Amino acid sequence: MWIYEKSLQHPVKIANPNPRLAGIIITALGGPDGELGAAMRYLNQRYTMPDGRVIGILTDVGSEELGHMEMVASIVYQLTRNLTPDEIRAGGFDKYYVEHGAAIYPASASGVPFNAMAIASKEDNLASITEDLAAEQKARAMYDNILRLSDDPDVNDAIKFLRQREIVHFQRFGEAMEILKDKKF
Amino acid sequence: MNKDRLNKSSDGGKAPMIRNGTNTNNAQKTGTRTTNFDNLDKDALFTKIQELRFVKAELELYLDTHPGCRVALDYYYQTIDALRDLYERYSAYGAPLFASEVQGDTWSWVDNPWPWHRHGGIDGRGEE
Ligand SMILES: [Fe+2]
Repeated sequence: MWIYEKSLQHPVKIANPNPRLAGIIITALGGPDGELGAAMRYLNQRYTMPDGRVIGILTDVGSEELGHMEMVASIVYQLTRNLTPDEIRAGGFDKYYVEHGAAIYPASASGVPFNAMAIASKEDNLASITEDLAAEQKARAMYDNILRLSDDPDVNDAIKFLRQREIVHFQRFGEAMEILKDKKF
Repeated sequence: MNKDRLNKSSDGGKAPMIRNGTNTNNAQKTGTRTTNFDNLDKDALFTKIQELRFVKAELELYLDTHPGCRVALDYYYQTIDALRDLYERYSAYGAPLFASEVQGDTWSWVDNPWPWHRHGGIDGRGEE
């Protein structure tokens, strides 16, 4: 089970709305390298893992990713407040807006709804952890791309935090891999 | 998380378990300040909670793959002792971070702001 804490893991306080940036950053929620996929990947892989340490890291990283979903959703929510139809059109946010308004919907930046095909869960535990290492690198690369496209310091502060977490997760999954290899699971 | 520091235990990993947060000697060793939080206002308390909550999350991940690291475990105990104190102080301000911390005559859990509301407001979305 989970207990909800009514607070973001890292503050999100964005001064200026920006529909174009919102349409890009939504991919960090529902895109192929997004936080929804990350949470679902780790939390579903846990059950057949043969070692408590590996179950532990998947549980705790997966739970942290749920908190990252909430951070990304908060960024998009704050970037899309009080928009006029002209601003929506000018920012290229019209295709998202016509389907969802400014509500949060997990999709990629190119408009593809979240798809569980972007994650894997194998009883072959080395295959799963290898997938997780790649996933953290892909998410880090996605955040690098967002930082290249964004010049909003409020957005970048939160994105840099999320990017840094991917690096720590990658480190911990590397250790999980060594645990599995040592015990020849 | 500084891995080197966590792996280096000056006492051979045999530090006594500290749960009350009062052993300042051990606090210095592990880097957790067991400050008293008496002088912090609501905002400062929340900032401190955010900081220590992050330390807690980092230590949990580290301990998952290093469950035998005594230094990290002592650091963790220190951190959650301080956090418990901070949460208790913060809940007195009537904006509970956990539903189980609601105090008083009304169900304040549903009060704005929620975490995505900027600056504590509701950002002119026409919500009440
Ligand atoms: Fe991650």
